[in-house]
Amino acid sequence: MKYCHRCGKMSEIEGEIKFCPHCGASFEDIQQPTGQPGETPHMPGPAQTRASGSAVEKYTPWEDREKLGLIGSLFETWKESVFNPTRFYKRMPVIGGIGNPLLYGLILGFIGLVFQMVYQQFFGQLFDPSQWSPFLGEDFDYDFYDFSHKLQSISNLVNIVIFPFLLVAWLFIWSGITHLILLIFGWHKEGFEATFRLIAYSEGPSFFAIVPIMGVLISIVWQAVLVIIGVKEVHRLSIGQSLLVIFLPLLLCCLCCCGFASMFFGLIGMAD
Amino acid sequence: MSIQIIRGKHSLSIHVVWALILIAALAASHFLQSSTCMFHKLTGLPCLTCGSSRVAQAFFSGDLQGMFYYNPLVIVFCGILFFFSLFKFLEFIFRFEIRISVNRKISFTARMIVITLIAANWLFLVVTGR
Repeated sequence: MKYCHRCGKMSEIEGEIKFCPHCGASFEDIQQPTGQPGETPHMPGPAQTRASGSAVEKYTPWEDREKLGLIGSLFETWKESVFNPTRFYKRMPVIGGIGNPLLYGLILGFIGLVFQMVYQQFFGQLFDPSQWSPFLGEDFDYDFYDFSHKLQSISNLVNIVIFPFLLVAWLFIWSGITHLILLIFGWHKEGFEATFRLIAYSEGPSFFAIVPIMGVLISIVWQAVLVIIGVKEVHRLSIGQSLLVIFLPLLLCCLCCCGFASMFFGLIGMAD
Repeated sequence: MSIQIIRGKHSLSIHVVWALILIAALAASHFLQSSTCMFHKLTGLPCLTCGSSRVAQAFFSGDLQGMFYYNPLVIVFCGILFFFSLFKFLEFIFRFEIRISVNRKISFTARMIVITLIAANWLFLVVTGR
């Protein structure tokens, strides 16, 4: 029987095994705790792993919904991830499935989208062509304006329906590219699941879409900052390495290959 | 390098989602117009993924030569990702799991090969003027 210091589980497979059957970590690569020969090593629970050389209790409020409730856990996670990201990502469990962070990302992303749609409709209605007719001139096509306004309303409704699918795909693509860069440089200290989790939990700033006009821009910049901090803390990199991991794909690929990315940015552009 | 086969029921890997995303992205690229590459616009050179939309179009029209002509690495990468995803699904269905562990030397060599392939592919795109 072997104890995995990464996930904190015991493997019950007989004989010599090199990998943990639960998390896949290699027993050879995992640093064994120091102690006297024959001394029973301290076995942290599943919620504890090493971070920055010391044991840190792994905890994310969103994954403690039974205790905190849906709204309470959502608010606590949002507050901590947005305003204290270093602490949040240090404590974020790197295993435990993608369902919880995905749900969190979807909720926050959807709130942001709804605000964008509402502002778009509101500002669209503020622009009444009949009031601006002296400035618009005789060439202004009022019928086309009405048509495009109706088309925009329909497209908003369609966006609300397809948004969850686009966001899920976008989160996978973004975390996939980020993890690929980490793999190429050999900087990955955790698996793909950890990268996905940190990116999904960085959706918090989407809520800033509540701020009209500038809200979307603020949320995009803030989210990028959270991902940089998240990669730094989860994969234990320097800030320079983390910046390189995030900005390299943007510089080299500009993501133009990716239909989903184009659709996503198009969605943001339409909503603005 | 060591390979370990673990038999028994295990949870579905999250990597199975890549096949679905690839299919959806291919379908989306069929209906969407090609976007302008900002890298190409700014530098005059193709980016690492330039030609991907044309690869998708060649895929739909069954043009095998075109798929490798516009950006060879994209089709290779997508193919590997698709079959990796499919393999992960088969692992779940047939209740087994293959774990491969490599030492630092092999890992470094593999990374260097990947970087060289990416660089060679980009050079190919620059030389052929994609």
